[in-house]
Order: sequence, then structure tokens, then C-alpha cells
Amino acid sequence: MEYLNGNEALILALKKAKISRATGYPGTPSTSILEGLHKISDIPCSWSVNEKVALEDAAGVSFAGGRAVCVMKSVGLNVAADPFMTLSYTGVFGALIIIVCDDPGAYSSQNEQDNRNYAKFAKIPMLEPSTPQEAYDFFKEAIKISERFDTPVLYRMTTRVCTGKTLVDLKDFAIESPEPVLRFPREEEKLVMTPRQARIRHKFIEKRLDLLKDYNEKSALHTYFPGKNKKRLLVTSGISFLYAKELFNGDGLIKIGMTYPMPSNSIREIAKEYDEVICIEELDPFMEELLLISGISNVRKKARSFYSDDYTPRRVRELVEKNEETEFPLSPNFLPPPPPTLCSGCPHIAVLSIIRSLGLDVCGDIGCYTMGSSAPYYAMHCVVDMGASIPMSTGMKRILGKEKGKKIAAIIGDSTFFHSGLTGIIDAVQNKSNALIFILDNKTTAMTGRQGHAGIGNNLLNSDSPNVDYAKLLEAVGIKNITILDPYHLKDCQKHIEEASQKEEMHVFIMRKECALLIKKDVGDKKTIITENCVNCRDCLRLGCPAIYFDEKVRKPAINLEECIGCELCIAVCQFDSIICLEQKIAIKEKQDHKKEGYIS
Amino acid sequence: MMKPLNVLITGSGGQGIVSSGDLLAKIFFHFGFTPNATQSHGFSQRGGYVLYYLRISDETLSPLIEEGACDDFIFLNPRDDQRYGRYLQPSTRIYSVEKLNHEVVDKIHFKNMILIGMFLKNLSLSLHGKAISFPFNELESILKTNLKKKLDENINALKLGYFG
Repeated sequence: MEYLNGNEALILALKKAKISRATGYPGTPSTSILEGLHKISDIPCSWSVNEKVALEDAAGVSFAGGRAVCVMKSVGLNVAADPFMTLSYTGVFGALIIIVCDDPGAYSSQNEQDNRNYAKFAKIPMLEPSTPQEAYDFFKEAIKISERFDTPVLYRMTTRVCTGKTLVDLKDFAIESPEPVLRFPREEEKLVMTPRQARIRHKFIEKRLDLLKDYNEKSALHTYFPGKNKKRLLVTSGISFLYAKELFNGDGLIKIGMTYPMPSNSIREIAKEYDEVICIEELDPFMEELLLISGISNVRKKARSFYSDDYTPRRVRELVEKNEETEFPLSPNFLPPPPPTLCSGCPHIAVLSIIRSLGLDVCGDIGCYTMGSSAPYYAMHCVVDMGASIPMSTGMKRILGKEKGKKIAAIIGDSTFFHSGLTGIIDAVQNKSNALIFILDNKTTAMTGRQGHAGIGNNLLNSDSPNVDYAKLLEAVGIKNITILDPYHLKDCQKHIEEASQKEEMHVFIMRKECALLIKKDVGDKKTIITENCVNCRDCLRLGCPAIYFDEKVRKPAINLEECIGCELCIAVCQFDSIICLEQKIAIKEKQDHKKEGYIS
Repeated sequence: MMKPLNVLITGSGGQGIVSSGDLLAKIFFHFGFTPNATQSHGFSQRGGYVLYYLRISDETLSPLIEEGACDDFIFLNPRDDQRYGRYLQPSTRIYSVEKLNHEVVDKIHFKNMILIGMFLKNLSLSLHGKAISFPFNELESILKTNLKKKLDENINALKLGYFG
């Protein structure tokens, strides 16, 4: 037995299954799967520029007879939706497993979408492990189903299954279906999706769904635990199984492993014995609707408040017992958890500070810098999805015109730029947008834990891939004004950006400084301190660097030397020269000491 | 099924919350229990809040702790008892750095290990009808097999918490 979380257990299954290749794009809570697999196996793994590309790469592997895995977070499947929908039509040669990690509660996502709907939408089977043990066990089943039924399989996990840890029995791992032959496929009727072929394959898909449903009805992927009484039958999948098992002892309980297509005939037979059927499922009433449609009339509809947020034992109790949610009373001395901030010395802090000082109207994007929308930065005003910043600015510029749209800017991170910003910037050029565009080039995909990307030429598998030259790339798409700046040189940046904002031309600023987490913390005397000359204007505090705090004892700002990384941004914002480096202080002190000594002698 | 022991560990990123939770889980596993755990955290890379929920049982359980059901609360940040008070009950045992002798503790970086020592010293559980306590020498050997870095410092901190 090993103590593992769902992602770790799944990684071991991927390794034991000896899959041919794994692709993906980082995103919470899925990131550790590809990283972990790369660390512990020889399986070729790589970060693609985005999820669409990752899935198309995996499709190529499958078409050539390899067993492919593609890993992404919830909203990643939107990006990959185009190939996803049609790969259902083509089907596979080698197994194609799409691992999607949903984020109920939107802890680290821009929405709370329930990707189970995608399985129904694309008409492909979906497996939902409920424990790390099942994350391990179900994978071989996924491969078998994919190859036997000629279909991609959606392997759907949620935050609590991905990060929940418990003991896992790493049993032997035999995959039942024979390994496919590796070759270039010459089967155009299956793999060329012309309208005519698509119509033919659509008929195959509908038949495949029937076959999958039959298979699921008879499979061991669902388990029934008869109740002591026949009042309530609880239908669960994923993490909600564990809640139900623990909270409701006497009720009937069904755990569904393959939630699409649902084994509704088997459930119907069991449901007949009970007064009421209650589905316990986070987010959408997915199983609930499928069971109702299949004619199980004693299914209770859950109240709408249970459509959102991740479940907790208390919420599950309220869902089952009352189907009504109550607020948990907070004690009078309740203190909210500290809000998220950027890291000390983060170069984004500099960019946000300049933007705020110029009063720009900012279309933002997804990354660490999204925190720039809230306190204390207040420098980002709309954020939707990855890559949206530049096109939104183009649209706004177009309709707001010269005067009202004067201050529009777009901010996008480097990894996000390669993920889906490039098409937007070409479109902006084609539409003659004159927005200011900031590419925050911090040399990493910081938000998800510092993965490589095309801008630095590192994709897990090949740490020496060529890196994209931003300036040449932007020049080639027709951008005339490109300036590379170091955000730590605050005054210099301010000057350049202010000048550019006066002109009515598109200007791209590449704000180049590596992520503060990549900088060595051991900077010694470069760390800064606030001197007694401080006039308490608090400009340094407004910068939003977590190393700078308000010292209640002296009622003035102070700097936490353990946190400070010596970026000197605070020196640049202090108008009264009251912040200095430790080395300066030492120099001054030495001078004074020297003077003193001189005086005495 | 045994009545689960619910342990909540809180603090900020970088304080070793997750690593101490994992270590505790391995300790309980060593003594025959089934640990169940999950984490919540703010989305900043560093300095954000971290909660480690650890539920000790003899079977696989859902990992989140219900409000008002925490048995042992270990926290590294001052005032976390106000932030996460919703999980506490009158009988919750509390382990915090505020209770420690500051002069001694300030010299030691491994506050999490001191608190783990305090927590395990006082703990006794029963598994399949057998009473189980956590003797120091056994804890020390678990640390030796599980920790790769700064072993001596960690053992010293554990000792300080365990023996006071």
C-alpha cells in the first residue's frame, strides 16, 4: 500500500500501462500528472502550446497505433473542443484517453463548468474515479473500452479526487486488449472527415453509444450497496460516493464508475424498491437528468443552490436531508483568510504599478497577473479566457473610437501569448488596432508551477528546443513598434510607455524579467530598508509587494527582509529617497563611523 | 469502522504545511491506520493560505473535515484559530506557536515539527480494540526513513515539542 493522491495513483497506472505518449497543457488541478509521469518514466511527455494542439498531437499518436493520453484542466477542453468533437467520429486505433480535471468551486479557474456534459455532447464514454485507488484501477479499463469500441474516452476527475490522498494498493496491471500495430494509417473512410464521411460515421457513433450502454449495464464499474431501509437510494459518482458512504449509513447506495452512457436499466430495477432516488453529484444535475429522461420517475431534483461550488460533508448532508442550503453561522471574531497576492519582487508588480499610474483601461488575461484586478493593484478591468485580452482590446478600440478608447491596453503573459494570443495579435494588426499591448515575458508558466513554453524552448521532453524570438515574430506579423523593457527599471519603462500612449499606433511592449521565483533569494546587501526619512506617504505600500507591510508599532511602512529579493522597485517609487539598499546603509554607517573616528583622533 | 480522528493543519505557503501533513499521514500509516487527506490553498505561488485536512481511520474516507468536527488543530500563523474557527468544537485540542516559549522557538526554523511533537506526545488512539500510542524512538525512525533533507534539525524540533 502507498499513500498517494489521485493524480499520483493515475501516474503510476499510466507508467504501468506503458502508454506511447502523453501530451497536455498545464492547468490546476491536472498539472502534476504530466510532470510526474515525465519524472518517473521514459514515456515521451510534452507540454504543447495549448490543449487543442495537445489533443491533435495525441490523435496522431492514436491514429498511428500508439496509446495516447492527453491531460488538461476543465476549461482546457473548451480549447480542445474542436478536435474533441470530431475525434468521436474518427474513433481511434491505439487507445486515446483524454484526462480532464474539473475544478468545482473554481479554486483556480475562470468558471465552474461541468465537463461531463462534453461526454454527452461528443457521444463518447466517460469514466469517473471516486478515489485514488480507482484513479489507478480504472485506467486499464479506459484503454480497453477505447480500443474495443473504437472511441476516445473521457477520464474525468475533480479537485478532491486529484488532490485527495489515501492508501492505494498498486495491484498488477494487465491490459486486456492486444497492443495495436504501429503504422501510418491508410484508412481514409475512417480518418478523413469530409461531410459525406461525417454523415456515415455519425450513424456509427449512435450505434456505438448503444453498445457502450449495454457494456456498462453489465460491467463491474458500478456497485450497489443495498440499504437497511427502502426510503432513499443515493446515486453517486466521483468524490460524492465517499461523502454518501460516510454520512448515510442506512440508505441504499450506488456508485457509478462509468457515468456516460449511464447504466440506467440497472438503476431502474434497483430504484423500483425505493421511495426516492437522490443523485449526489457536484455541479450540474448530470446523472439526475439522464435518469429522469430514462423514465425513473422517483428521482428527486436537486435545488439550484447545489449546482455550484464544491461539496463538503455539510452541504451533502443538507442536499440529502433537506434539499435546501443554509449559511454556516460565522463567529463574531471571524477573520477571512488572507487574500492572494503576487510574490515579493514579482516583475508583474512593476507593470501593474505603471499601468495604474497612467490610468490605462486594461483588457487582461489568465495568469498570475490576473491578481492585478484586485487589491491593492487595481490595474486590470476585464478577464475572460486565455488569449482574450488582445481581441477584446481590438473590439473596444473599434467601437469606442479615438477619445473614449484612448487609454485601452491589453496585458498577456508569455505562456498565454503562445497558448492563444498569437492569433489575436495578428487579428489586431489586420484590424488596424492601435492598442498598447504588454507581453509579460517572465520566462516561465508561473501560475501553474513554472513549466516551460515555446518562448524559452522547453517542453518537458526536449529542454533544448529552439525558443521563439518574440521581436522577429511580431515584426513578421506586421507590428512596427516593438520595445523590449526591463520592468525593474521603473522610471525608464514609465517614460517609454507614456510616450507610446500619446501616439495613435499599435505598440507592443515586451516586459522582460524572469519570474521572482526563479531569482535567487540570497541577494544579501541588495535587500532594501526604509530609513527614518520616511514621510509616511505609503506609496511603497500601494505597490503591493508582499515584502512591504505596515508596522503597527511605529505606524509606518516597513520591509520584511526575509521576503525581500532586492528588486529595488520600492526605491524607484519612493519620491523622498527614504528607501535604500542595505549596502548603502552599511556604506553610510561606515562613513559615519569613519568620521567619528576621525573626529576623536 | 473506527470513529475518525480529524486533524486540521493550517498556515501559509512555505511553512511546510503540506510536508508536515504528509509526514503525519505516513506516521499514522506506520501505526496501522488509513490516512485520508486533502488540501485547500489560495492560488498564489508563495505566501498564500494553506489548509491540510487529515482524517485518520481504518478505511478510505472523504478527505474534507466537516465544520465543528475537528479533533486536533495545528496552526502556524497567528490568528488562524479565528480564520478557521468554523472547524473547531469545544473539545478540539489546539497546538499553536503562540503557546510555545518564544525565545527557544525563534531559534528553530522547524516550528511545524515542534507542533507535531506536541501533538503526538499527547495522542492515544485505539485500532481494532488495541490501544496505540506514539513513542518517540519509533517516530524518530519514521523520520529517518521519510525525510531526505535536514534530518537532524527536524528530529531536534520534534524532540523539543515531544519532551517540552
